[in-house]
Amino acid sequence: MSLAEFLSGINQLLGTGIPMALFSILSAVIVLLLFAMPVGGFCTYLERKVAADFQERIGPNRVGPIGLLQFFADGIKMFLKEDSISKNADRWIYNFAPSLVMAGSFGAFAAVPFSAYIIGADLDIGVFYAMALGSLVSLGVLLGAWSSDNKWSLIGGMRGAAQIVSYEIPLGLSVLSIITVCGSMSLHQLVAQQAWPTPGGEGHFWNVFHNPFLFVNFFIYFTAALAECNRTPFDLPEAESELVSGFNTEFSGMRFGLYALSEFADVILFACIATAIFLGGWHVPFFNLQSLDIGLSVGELDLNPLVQSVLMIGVFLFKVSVLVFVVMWLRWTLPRLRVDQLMNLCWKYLIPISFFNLIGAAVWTWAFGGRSLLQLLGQVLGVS
Amino acid sequence: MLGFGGLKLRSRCLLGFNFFQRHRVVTLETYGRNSGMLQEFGNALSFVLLAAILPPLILFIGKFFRPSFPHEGKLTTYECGELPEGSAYVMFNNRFYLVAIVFLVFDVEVALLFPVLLLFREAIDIGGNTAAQVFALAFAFLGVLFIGLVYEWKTGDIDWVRDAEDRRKHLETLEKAPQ
Repeated sequence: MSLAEFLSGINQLLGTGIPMALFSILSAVIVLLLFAMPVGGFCTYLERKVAADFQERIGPNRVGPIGLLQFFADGIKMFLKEDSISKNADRWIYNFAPSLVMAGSFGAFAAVPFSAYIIGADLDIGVFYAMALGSLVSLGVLLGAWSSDNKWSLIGGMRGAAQIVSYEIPLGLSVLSIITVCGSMSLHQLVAQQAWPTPGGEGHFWNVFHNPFLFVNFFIYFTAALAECNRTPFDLPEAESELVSGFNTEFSGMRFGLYALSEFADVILFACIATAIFLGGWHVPFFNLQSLDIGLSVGELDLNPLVQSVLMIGVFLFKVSVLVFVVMWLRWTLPRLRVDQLMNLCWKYLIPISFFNLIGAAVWTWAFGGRSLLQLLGQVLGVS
Repeated sequence: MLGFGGLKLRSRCLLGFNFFQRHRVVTLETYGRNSGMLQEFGNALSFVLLAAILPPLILFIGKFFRPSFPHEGKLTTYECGELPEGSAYVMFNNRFYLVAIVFLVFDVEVALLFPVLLLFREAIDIGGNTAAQVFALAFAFLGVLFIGLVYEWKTGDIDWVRDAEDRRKHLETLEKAPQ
């Protein structure tokens, strides 16, 4: 059930006749403007704060309590900056590129399953959709860089494109192994399958612990996702010590802000997808949140889904924030790779390993009928 | 729409292969009616459109608030404070092009494998040699591409930096290859 249906369900209870199309737009507004953008903005603050902690500095602490409103101030600052476009720039593409990047990183939020009841669009090809839109980002980066007629930008953009397309293959292969094991592409169903295993139940616990191949593939996915988001140690497209600012050198003011925002949105998106397909989404060990029953209702409205949703969103966002924190942690831990090391890592390590893991995952699924390590263990111990 | 329908309804016709007996053609209308999936794609579309119109919208609203003092110096290309030296549209390392070509092959392969491996679980449940068929199909396909990867690796096409010795060897292998 998607968020739009959820909203229209409430609407039906209240008895107002608002057309469904409006709810799908409303759900997009809720997820993007009330979740993705503020959280993306908050991440820019968080990154500075985390960086400061790693370097034993204080970090932003002036705007709001412990600097919490810093991103808001940054946003206003960038909003009010002069919009200066270099006269050599290819203006059409230059104006179009940020839209492409935003459509890629924010549009894919439609498929993120925040809870069993709240998902932007419950697509049957959810994972595929997220990956397909994710690759729009590389186009946006390359077009933006190309259109600015700046050498730094061009080098950064070329690097970005080569890197993002290369790492899309291990990313795709590791997602493919999940699909082989679970037999579904709908993110909603993928999460539903990762419940704590009960006797006779469908759940096989988190995919990352499903079998050893998926365990390794999780790290491949994470590495490839880092490269997809241009994050350290793969931040060659905007290597600030060599390329000024890389692909967004010529983008100033709000245009730069949009690029920065969509970069963080990309990080959050990949963390969300990793949580959903590998880390069990909103599932917790030992207990299935969806079977929680508080037995409260207001008139006809059953409050269970709402209470469950709040808990599920909490669990989901907790996992996402752990992953986002690891991404920030890595930035201050690992040095940047060289271009040839970057390509070697992808083509000579990640792709062969993920190939092998894909075959391994398929063989495991075949041999044990799709049962996970935990389920097999339960069988041996006679629990389920 | 057949592809999407195949994924949702597990229709038995996929990529021209009849894996299973029951053949079912899914059209746009039956697809939308059966699953409400058109509504879901409509939701997804509203996300993409909203995300795409946000940048122009924000920039348009900002137009009424931000200053605009264009100046010759500001509008030149940034090159670390120096006057820009020619255009940026220069000859570029064709490695990038090669990577893009190799990527295209692999990405199409991964995209084509998605629907096939999606059916793997179901094929196992059906029993018999259906799973073996799907497995053989998918991994024969993968195997061919993997041989391609090994070839690329051997000839050094996926090495970013190739030293003079390597390049000489590479040219030799190219000359030896049958025309």
